[in-house]
Amino acid sequence: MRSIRSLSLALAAAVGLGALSGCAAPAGDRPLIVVTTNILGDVVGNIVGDQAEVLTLMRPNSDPHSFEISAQEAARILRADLVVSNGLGLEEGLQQQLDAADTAGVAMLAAGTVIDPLPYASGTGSDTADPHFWTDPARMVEVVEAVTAAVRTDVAGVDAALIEAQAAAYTTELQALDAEMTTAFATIGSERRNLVTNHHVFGYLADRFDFTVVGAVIPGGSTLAAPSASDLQSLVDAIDTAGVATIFAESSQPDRLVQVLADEAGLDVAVVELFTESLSEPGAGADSYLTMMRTNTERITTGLSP
Amino acid sequence: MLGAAALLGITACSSPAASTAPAPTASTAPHGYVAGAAEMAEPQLHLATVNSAGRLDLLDLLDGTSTSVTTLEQVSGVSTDGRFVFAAAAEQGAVTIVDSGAWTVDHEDHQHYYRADPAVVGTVTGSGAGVTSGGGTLTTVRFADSGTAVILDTGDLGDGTITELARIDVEPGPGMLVPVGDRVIAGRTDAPGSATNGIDAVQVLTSSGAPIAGATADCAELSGTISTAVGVVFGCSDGALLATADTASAGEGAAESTITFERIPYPAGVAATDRALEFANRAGRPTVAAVAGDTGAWLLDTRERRWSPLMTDTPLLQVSAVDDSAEHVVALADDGRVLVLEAATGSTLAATEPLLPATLVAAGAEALVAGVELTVDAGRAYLNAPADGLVYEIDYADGARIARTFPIDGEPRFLAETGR
Repeated sequence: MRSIRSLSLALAAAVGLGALSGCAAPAGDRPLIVVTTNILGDVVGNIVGDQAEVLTLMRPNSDPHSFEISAQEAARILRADLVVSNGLGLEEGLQQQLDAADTAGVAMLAAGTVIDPLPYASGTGSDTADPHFWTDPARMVEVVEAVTAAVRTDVAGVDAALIEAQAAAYTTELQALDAEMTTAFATIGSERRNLVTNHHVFGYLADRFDFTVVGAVIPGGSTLAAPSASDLQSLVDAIDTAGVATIFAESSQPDRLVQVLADEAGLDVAVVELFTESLSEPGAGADSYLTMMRTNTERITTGLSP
Repeated sequence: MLGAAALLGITACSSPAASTAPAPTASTAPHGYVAGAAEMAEPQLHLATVNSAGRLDLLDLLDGTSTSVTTLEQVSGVSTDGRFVFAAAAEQGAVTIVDSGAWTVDHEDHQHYYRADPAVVGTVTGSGAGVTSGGGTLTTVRFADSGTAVILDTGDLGDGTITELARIDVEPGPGMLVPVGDRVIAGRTDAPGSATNGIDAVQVLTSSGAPIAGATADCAELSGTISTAVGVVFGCSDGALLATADTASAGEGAAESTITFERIPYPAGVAATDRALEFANRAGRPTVAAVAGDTGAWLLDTRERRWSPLMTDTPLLQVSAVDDSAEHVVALADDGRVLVLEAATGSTLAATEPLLPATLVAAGAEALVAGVELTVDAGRAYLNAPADGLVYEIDYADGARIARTFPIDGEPRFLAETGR
């Protein structure tokens, strides 16, 4: 949910660009693809390489639910050859600009419309679709297909054969990721496939790889300072139900949380953070979509293994 | 934007990318973007206190550290919208707005938590005591002495700028000004109990302060208002007036919301002295609480449109609805104890010792008690005890246990919780 740095995806894209082709044409001459989130920015960059300029809107320290853009960026959206968004309500702050581009006749692709969406996990009281489809790599393969088709149809002046080749190469990488995740998670016994988490993004991962998300209220710093049994009740119940030794929570004081759970509830659990809605800085474990997924897979597998 | 610029800068074949994708600067920084704001894992809860010397401190409830933000003159009242602290100085006719740098954005199924550096945003001037009401889009300040209504852009406050979208003069006297989405509701009243009045009504205004024809509702003896997840409540002599914004058309760029009014009448036979005059709850929850004269409290469920009485043996000074699964209600009794009540049964579950021993007997106790604030969040309640020099943290779900006690240098005259 934090540590967003689109520079990292640019680096990833630049590496891909160097490997796949020679010199880029000047920016002004190349077609423009505007992408909202940095996760999709990375994916689109892998598909188009140097065939188009990819403008990713999501900035460091913003989050996909509530970031806004400048008037200049809004103007560039209207001049884009293609706009790729996550959709399913993720980019709340941008919806007006996306609608304006749609009305102006800009080619639009909302990734959420090409995958089979899941409802939010039960108990949230929400009947809307869960927008966090990227935690399932198989669904990302479908998005790659749709983006590739949209680029061929809507973005003039690209080398279609090259786009197809790059998309095929990236799809192969996604399929390899999918296989790796399947293999890794297979080592976790079915009775331990429980994610105790305060994150709201793992519904698709759970659906595809047969995990159960056990929602929990993670006590905040103000209650951890002087906790009582009732402060920990939700979390202790969740841990007991799940029967796990690791919980995947974001906490500003993970060590304090571990200590309190040991002292107050006699529970010996580790607190591990996962990457959720944004790529990280280079080298920080999630500087590309593939790296982010591999890091999370490794952390979940290690955390839930006996 | 950074991505595109960096991409082209890094490749061997450089291009004039900088001209097409400039890095954010002061002039191109997006609306609502706060430099240095970081998303956090949990609510960045803070207590803002103003002491008797006017010093505004922020106490970080996560680690217990305190930071002094500014010193203000002759503060007469403090309120908050959960991020900004609004400090009124009636003598100067000024409201100073301080960004606590801690806030929560509610996305219904989940929340996002932010933290930035605290800062003084600026001052809104008028005449007398300014009462501020904060909303996600608009923030309003009403100066009753002059009848001046000021409408501010909340997004600009986050950028550190006070932008007055409108400043209009209406009739002076008791009343209200409350933002509802992209609208504002203005209310005027005669003094409570006045036999003859023809101005007891609320009126919907646009964000530029223009009255919308026909968008009015009667509200006799208007007193007390609060915003919940459902809408905005006004206290009237016959019950509550609930204003809800129609968001059906909010997706369209140009569409503006329509305000609908509903009445939630009191159960029959409520004495005028037992009316709800001031509302409080855990921010955003649908159920609110109000003191009911000397008889206890009212609970108003704005989702169910229902009042329920909650009788107590001791008269209450303040009451707030936690509206959690256990239906906790937290109250300050007139003897200085904090009571934990259970809404479903009306029983008193727990009580603290008297927490205001020095404050209740101090010279000028009435003024001191006016600045005492009982505030509740998802885990704790907080109470400032000015003459006792303390702020109490109360675990209402655990027998009204005093979880922490924070000594405040120079008497905590006013208290507001932010980050929630």
